[in-house]
Amino acid sequence: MSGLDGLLRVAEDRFLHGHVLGRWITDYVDLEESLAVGSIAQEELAHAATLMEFAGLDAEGRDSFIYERPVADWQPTALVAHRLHDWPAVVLRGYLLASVGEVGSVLLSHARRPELQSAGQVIAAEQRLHVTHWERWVTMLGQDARTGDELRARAAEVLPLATDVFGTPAFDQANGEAAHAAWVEAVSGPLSAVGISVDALGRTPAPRRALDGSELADILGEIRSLRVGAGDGVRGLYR
Amino acid sequence: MSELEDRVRAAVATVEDPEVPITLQDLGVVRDVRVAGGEARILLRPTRLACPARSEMARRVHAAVLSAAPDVRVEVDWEMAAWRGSDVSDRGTQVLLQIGYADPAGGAATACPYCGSSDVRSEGAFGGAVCKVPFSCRSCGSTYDALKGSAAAGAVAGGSRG
Repeated sequence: MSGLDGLLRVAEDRFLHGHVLGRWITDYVDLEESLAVGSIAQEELAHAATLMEFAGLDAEGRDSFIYERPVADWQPTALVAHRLHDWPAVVLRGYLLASVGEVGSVLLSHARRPELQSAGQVIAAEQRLHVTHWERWVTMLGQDARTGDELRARAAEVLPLATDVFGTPAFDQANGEAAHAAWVEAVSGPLSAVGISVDALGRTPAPRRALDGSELADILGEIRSLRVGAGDGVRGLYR
Repeated sequence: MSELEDRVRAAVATVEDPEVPITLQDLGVVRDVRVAGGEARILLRPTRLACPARSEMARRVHAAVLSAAPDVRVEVDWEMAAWRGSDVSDRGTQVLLQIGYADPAGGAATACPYCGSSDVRSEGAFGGAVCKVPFSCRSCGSTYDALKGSAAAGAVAGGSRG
């Protein structure tokens, strides 16, 4: 698989995160958070589209990539292939993925193609804003006696799902290991400060694997219902 | 520059942003206009990659060029590079201030566009659109937005609330 094909694996992560995060726009913590989550989800979808474009997919190709490929062809990180049902878990996933987005995009900014360098810089800057947002939540929940234990309990479930975030062919072994190490270092301070060990993230990236038992098929089915769902006058717009 | 290119440039310069009543040229979204061999190529740069108005902007630019030069082929390209508040023209800055936006080229310490007070408060790093950051003024009570990419919005993104 080429490096450009590898961009598509990263695009899958960003797209799925944008989609699953969208649920929290209406099931929200407060109105201000709804605005934030809406913007972050929107930017995740845009970053996915940008990566797909640089991987050579035109508008029709991007559409087909999302809506028509068999589920078995998807290979996202386990972190976005499982539904997380409460806010502390969503915060942890958002924080881990935003940091991945920032670290990974900084690597893109060293790519040979100037336009990819430029896009990498923009995506890294936009992901930095997401990092800041989620990190504030990690600190707030982790330092509050009423929510700290719940955040730490969720971390025990969420962090093991993130070991493969840099285990995609977008990064060769050396780059993947370097990115993984940079990412773990970036998140270790804020997480350790609220009593969450980063040991569960591992020292090296785990390879992407088949997601048997995950909820990926269900999540993709939900996405594709935009095309095949009831003709209620809204979904029809997407057909 | 040819007369045809002059006409195309003039037409592109009139296209307004779909959300903010300011031209794309004054907003710094129009980066380049070239006409050669019967083809007009217009290069745009989004304020944010996720700007939902990109399709409408491209459609408006396309329509404007064809209204001025019906026989040319029109290509609208997007440049994935960082848009800055300093990309807004002086005229654009005046328009934004008049309609209640923070000075896009101002420093990190934004002033209220309504009363000029610097006693303002950030209301978070995310606003009602992906390109906006909300503020409120303690002096006159007004609420207003800064565009992301401006120094004021950048200070909010990386720091704490005022």
